[in-house]
Amino acid sequence: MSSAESQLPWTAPFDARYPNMNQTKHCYKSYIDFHRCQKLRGEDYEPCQYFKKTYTSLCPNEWVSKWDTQRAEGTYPCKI
Amino acid sequence: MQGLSFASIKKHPSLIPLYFCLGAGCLMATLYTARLALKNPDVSWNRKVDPNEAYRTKQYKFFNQHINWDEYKNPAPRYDEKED
Repeated sequence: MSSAESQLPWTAPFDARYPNMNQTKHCYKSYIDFHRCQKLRGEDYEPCQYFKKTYTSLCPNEWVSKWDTQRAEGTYPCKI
Repeated sequence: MQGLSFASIKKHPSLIPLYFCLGAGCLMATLYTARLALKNPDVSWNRKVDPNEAYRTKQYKFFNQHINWDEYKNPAPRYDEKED
């Protein structure tokens, strides 16, 4: 028996704050929440990873890499 | 035009259901648009408050068949509140 846990696909669960089909705000907020959570609670705080998993599955990859470069350059439009 | 004043309605009472249906339709459309403008979690009138947060554990849509709202807990953790 291999000890590897079965890698079931995961996607963001139903969030009552975003009940409609359009999940743009959900993606945007999760990205912001992840980085704010890390800044507030430190890198090792486990519950922050929920936000990372959420935005990784919801957001288009182009957006994520664009935001990452903006944060690195200091031009990210939202306050983290 | 006939039918636009009280006197002519009495002469053509069959126009009354038409007014009733038209009025009900317009009223429903207006009320639903107002509900969308004021209550939709994606609509914001105030820059300071995030309107999505009001629906953290509340239902917005009329039809819902799979969520038990008594037991539903929002999966997003709250990291900004102090934990004891």
